[in-house]
Amino acid sequence: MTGEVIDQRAIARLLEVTGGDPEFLQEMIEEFDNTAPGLVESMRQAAMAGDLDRLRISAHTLKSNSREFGAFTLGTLCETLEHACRDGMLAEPGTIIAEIHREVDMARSALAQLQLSHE
Amino acid sequence: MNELGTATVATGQAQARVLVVDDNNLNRMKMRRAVENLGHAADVAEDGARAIEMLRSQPYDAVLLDIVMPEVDGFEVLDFLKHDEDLRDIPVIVISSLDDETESVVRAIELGAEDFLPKNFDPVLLKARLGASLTKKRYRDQEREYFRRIKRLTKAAEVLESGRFNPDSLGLDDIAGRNDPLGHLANVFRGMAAEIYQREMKLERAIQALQGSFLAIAVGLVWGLTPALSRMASGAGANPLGLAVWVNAIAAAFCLSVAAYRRKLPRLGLSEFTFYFGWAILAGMLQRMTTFIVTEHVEAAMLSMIVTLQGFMVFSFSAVTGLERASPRRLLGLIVGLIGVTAVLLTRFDLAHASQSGWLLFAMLLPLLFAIEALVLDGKRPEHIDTFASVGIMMALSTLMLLPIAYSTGKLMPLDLHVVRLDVLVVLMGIVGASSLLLAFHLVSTAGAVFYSQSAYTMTIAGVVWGMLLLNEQLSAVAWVGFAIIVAGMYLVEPRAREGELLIHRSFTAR
Repeated sequence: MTGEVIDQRAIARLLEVTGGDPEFLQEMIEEFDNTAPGLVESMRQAAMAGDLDRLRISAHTLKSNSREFGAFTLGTLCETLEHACRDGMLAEPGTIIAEIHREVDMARSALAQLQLSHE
Repeated sequence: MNELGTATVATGQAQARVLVVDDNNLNRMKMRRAVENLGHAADVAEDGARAIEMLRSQPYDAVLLDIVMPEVDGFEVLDFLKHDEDLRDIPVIVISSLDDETESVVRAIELGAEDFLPKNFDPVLLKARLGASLTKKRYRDQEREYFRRIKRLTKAAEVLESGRFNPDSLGLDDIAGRNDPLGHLANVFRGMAAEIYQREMKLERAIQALQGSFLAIAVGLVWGLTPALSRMASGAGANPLGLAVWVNAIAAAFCLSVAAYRRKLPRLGLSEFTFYFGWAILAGMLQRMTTFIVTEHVEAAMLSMIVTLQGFMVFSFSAVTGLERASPRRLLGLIVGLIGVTAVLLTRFDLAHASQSGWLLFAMLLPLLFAIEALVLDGKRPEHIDTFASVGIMMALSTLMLLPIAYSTGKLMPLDLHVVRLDVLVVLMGIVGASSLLLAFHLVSTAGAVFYSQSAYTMTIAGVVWGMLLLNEQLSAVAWVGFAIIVAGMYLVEPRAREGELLIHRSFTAR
């Protein structure tokens, strides 16, 4: 499973869209690395405060960002949370947020290794 | 349409300005770089409110819009754009993860979005969709510009129809400056309007000069009657001060009656009263007193010459203050007029005898007072008040000022109905005085102070003519030449040009 945390084809597509510049890709990975934990924290606070709107937007953003780098498992978890918020069907946000947290950490380390393989 | 413009439209390759709207920083980074890679300039907005602000303040050729955003979302931005007359043609491409947002995409397209892109789009797809949108936008821009120019030309035609031919009023300068068929049309249009306008302006000025000259001659003729009538009145036993009181009173009664009959009697405010009071002191008291004193010491012909200095005084004042156009041509006109007057007077009087030195200097006070009067009337008269009422009020006030002086010095002769000739003369003088002031007032307001001051010439001449008619004096050929020279001077001085645009009467209707 660990080898499939991120999809290499997504990374290649991202590189192509942004003009094939590895340095810029590196910048984007850093941006993901910097913002993803904050998004998880934001989800946690929103869940505690019962702010479904904020929870939904945070899940939407993280979904979009994780898919950008091919972290599809993380993306699907975020999508599930987003839809649950949208439909008002959220029973246990704590469980799924904990899962998301775990997947974020895995994606970050996978992306860090990717960075190494580039160098 | 120039060839270069056509070429860029056809390929859609020219650099465009694209606005990327997304609350997600990572997406903004990616989209900006992707757009820049296609050779366009990209700006980013981090939320809907900021996007609307930027769209309002800067021109964009396309918008790449995220739908899900906090506060103001993509739908609201789209709604704003499509309801703005100037911004509705900017193509919007919605960026959306198709898998779960199909409904959003459909709604966005219904709201007027041009196209959509999935979030994980292929760069070739971005290039194709953005390129197609930009091409359409450029065609629409050209179309809009074309219709805008057609509208401006139509508007200019309406301006012409309303009789305004001044090329500046048509507002076609920028269109006419372009080297294309519409520019050529605008050029022809504007050029023809300009030609007609120039022609009509010339005609208008000629008519104005002619009207002004007739009026100046009329003022002179009527005013010039006064000395002759005065001499006749003196012969009938009237003294100047008493005569002035009666003449002013009758003139006031005449003017105010006419104003009352026309229901034009005004209510005076303080500033208007101050104006008439000042005018009465100037015309009723100062001018009259100075005339009384000067006529006793300076020969009549010399005085006539001195009074004509009025024109030069008004001209200098206007030149210094910029009140009226002070061109060399107008100055030349005044000088020509003076030569004419001199020519006429030379045929009748021996100026060599006129050596009253000190009194001559004092006599210059008279044209100065006339000049001040002309300038005050030109600049300060209350324009909403009827001419008859204005002259009547001034005459009434000056009568009230002179009355106590005449009464206390015993100069106020009773008007005895048995002395028929004097009574008739006084009434005649009153009406003559009023008429001349009415004409003068009208002339100042239509032709300006400088042109008006030439009535001093015609007054002098008229004095001579009336003397000839009433007292059977002979007039030499040189005098007639002098008259002609004065009229030539008037042509040179020209009445003040009317302010504002000339409206041309048109005899055909397009519809």
